Amino acid sequence: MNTKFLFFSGKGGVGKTTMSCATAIHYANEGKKTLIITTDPASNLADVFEQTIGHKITPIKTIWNLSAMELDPDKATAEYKERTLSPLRGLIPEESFAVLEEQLNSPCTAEMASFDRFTDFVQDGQFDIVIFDTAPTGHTLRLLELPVEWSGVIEKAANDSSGGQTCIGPAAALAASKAKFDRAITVMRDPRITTFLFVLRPESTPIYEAERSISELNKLDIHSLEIIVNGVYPAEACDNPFMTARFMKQQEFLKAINQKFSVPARIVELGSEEIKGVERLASIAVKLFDNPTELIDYQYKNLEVKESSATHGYVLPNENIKKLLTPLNEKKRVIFFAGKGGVGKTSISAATALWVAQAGYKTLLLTTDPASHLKQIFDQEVTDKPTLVNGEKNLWFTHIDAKKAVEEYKEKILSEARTKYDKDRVTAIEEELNSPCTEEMATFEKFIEFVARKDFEVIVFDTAPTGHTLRLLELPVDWNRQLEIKTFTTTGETDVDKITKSKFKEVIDLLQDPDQTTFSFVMYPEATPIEEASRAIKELLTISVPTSLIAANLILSETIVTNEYLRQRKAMQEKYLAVMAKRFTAPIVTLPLLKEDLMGKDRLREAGYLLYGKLN
Amino acid sequence: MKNKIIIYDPPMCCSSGVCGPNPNRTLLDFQDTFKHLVQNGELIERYIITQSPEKFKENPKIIKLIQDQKLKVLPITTVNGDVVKTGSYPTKEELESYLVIRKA
Repeated sequence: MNTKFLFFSGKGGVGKTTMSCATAIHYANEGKKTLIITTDPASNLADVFEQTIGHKITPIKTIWNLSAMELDPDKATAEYKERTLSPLRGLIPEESFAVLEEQLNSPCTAEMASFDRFTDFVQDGQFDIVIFDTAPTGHTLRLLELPVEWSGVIEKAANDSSGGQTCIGPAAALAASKAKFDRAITVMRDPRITTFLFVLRPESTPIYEAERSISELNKLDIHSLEIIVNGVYPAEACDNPFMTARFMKQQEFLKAINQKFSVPARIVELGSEEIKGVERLASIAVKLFDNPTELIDYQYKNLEVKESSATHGYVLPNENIKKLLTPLNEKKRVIFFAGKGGVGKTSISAATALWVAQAGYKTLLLTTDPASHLKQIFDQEVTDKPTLVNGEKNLWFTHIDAKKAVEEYKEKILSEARTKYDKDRVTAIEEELNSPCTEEMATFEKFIEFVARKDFEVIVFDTAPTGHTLRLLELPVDWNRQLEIKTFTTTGETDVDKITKSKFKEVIDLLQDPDQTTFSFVMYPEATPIEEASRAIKELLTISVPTSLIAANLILSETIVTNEYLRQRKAMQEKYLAVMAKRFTAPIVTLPLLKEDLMGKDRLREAGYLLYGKLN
Repeated sequence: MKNKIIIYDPPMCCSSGVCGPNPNRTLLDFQDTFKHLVQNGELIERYIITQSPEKFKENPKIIKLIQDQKLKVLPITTVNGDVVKTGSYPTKEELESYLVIRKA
């Protein structure tokens, strides 16, 4: 952890921001000039430091030597647009200028602009320590894969006889950026200046994801890695059978982490109160910068067990809630679960889908999250075609595999091209399709395809983490605008465009209709998740998509609160459940902290009953 | 001396026409002809307004046309800086004829 650049990685909600802020405070207090940057569209640095930060390097008032920045993809795009179009400002009619700006709103521009800013900091010379509180796993990896892909794209375009046009701009304009991208990769690969830190909780999904991410990074030739295990229960909190069961489970996972990863690991215990404010962060830093902890049998000897019971009662199915989950007026019902990664979205989506299917509706469970673990939940292979869940009549599941979607998308275009054009031209088209934008387009096409499907009564989307979800949902609106621009200019509207346009319109109409779409947020009853959900809900309203359900996860049942630690946590949860009831107009369902992880259909069924009531 | 042709493209993501919800036939055809001429060593260039606005600024005739007729005037084709076609892409035959135009 003593390199100039520190990248924090791991699924959202595991405490990445807390760990990176604690690290930043540690270095700043050591007298090093420190900068912390978040690239997460759903950032909460402002909440942590309790001051406004925004899209610029901002000194933290309470800490000497520390600055922070929230890299806002929208602002980065706006800056990029301004830089690009400024030569024409005032020269051409305002109306035409507005069309140009609108055209640059394409998904590719946003991706490119964010990355452009990101690489700026990798060459920064004015800070001793630069900490990146990176975006969640799947997105991070894509961001990291980009430099490799892009420098390839640029190089090829520059040598190409086609005049050097690439999807991400003329090669000449990017030549300067290529050096920047290359430098970014070199920096990330050098263990003397860069460390990647994986933050994870001692649970199966995060371990599995960390394993996958680490192997992806290794493929990119990045090997300087460390692990932080966050959220470990202190032994004194686990004095009843329920908590002991969870404690023992954590011990198993610590053992697994120790065996799987041959990299330095640190442990941070779950506190009884939320971590907010500089002092508490500094106390986390002390734990972090102690020597790496021995993971095996950590605290085990201190465990003391008292008697207590822990059973959950079921409620009756709530008719209002049932209406939100089932089809209305012969129309299809589409249910989205949004929320920060790691809050239990996949588990709750699966439990919901099973509940709806067992209520008698033909249901499809679909994930657009590249880091989803549906396969582990059902213990059955998930593919890009809907598959019947073993032993079920009504429940099907599938995922959108981005890499495969790209292949299909390319093949669709190429097979059509082959019938019309000669081999050289087909090859040229194929090369054009190897741009990073193709993935966004391809995934999006798949998403549209599923939303528009008529062969399921209910479709449950276990969506990707918040920021990405919003972008995915805003895409139909954006592309619709793009097509409208086409009609402005003489490129002309073709019949194919018309079909595409009506397809998008259908999806937008569906998303905006609460009789067909149920948009739900999953969260823990804690400050940061509530803030983030509020922001996301507001953003959804700007595209006229209302939120109609809230699920609060990991609620401590009264029966298991046997000691002071748990009492404090329970009190914190009660406080935030009250905040949620006040803040959100949508109904709130709750899922208690369960003894075991939600794996397998029996546990999912029970979770469904606990959330929505027991089916007959 | 060879004639120099420049095509000023309307706003779009990329010149090939494959980078959007649907591949664009007109653009694919034009791109093909364009590439062919480049390979033959002709002086022909093309610029997209959203990617190379400075190239549009360099030629006052282009700016004037956009001021008067808005973006629907694009694409514009020039030969040695003079406008020869507006509102649509030149055909293969037209492009070949531009290569042999003599300057007045």
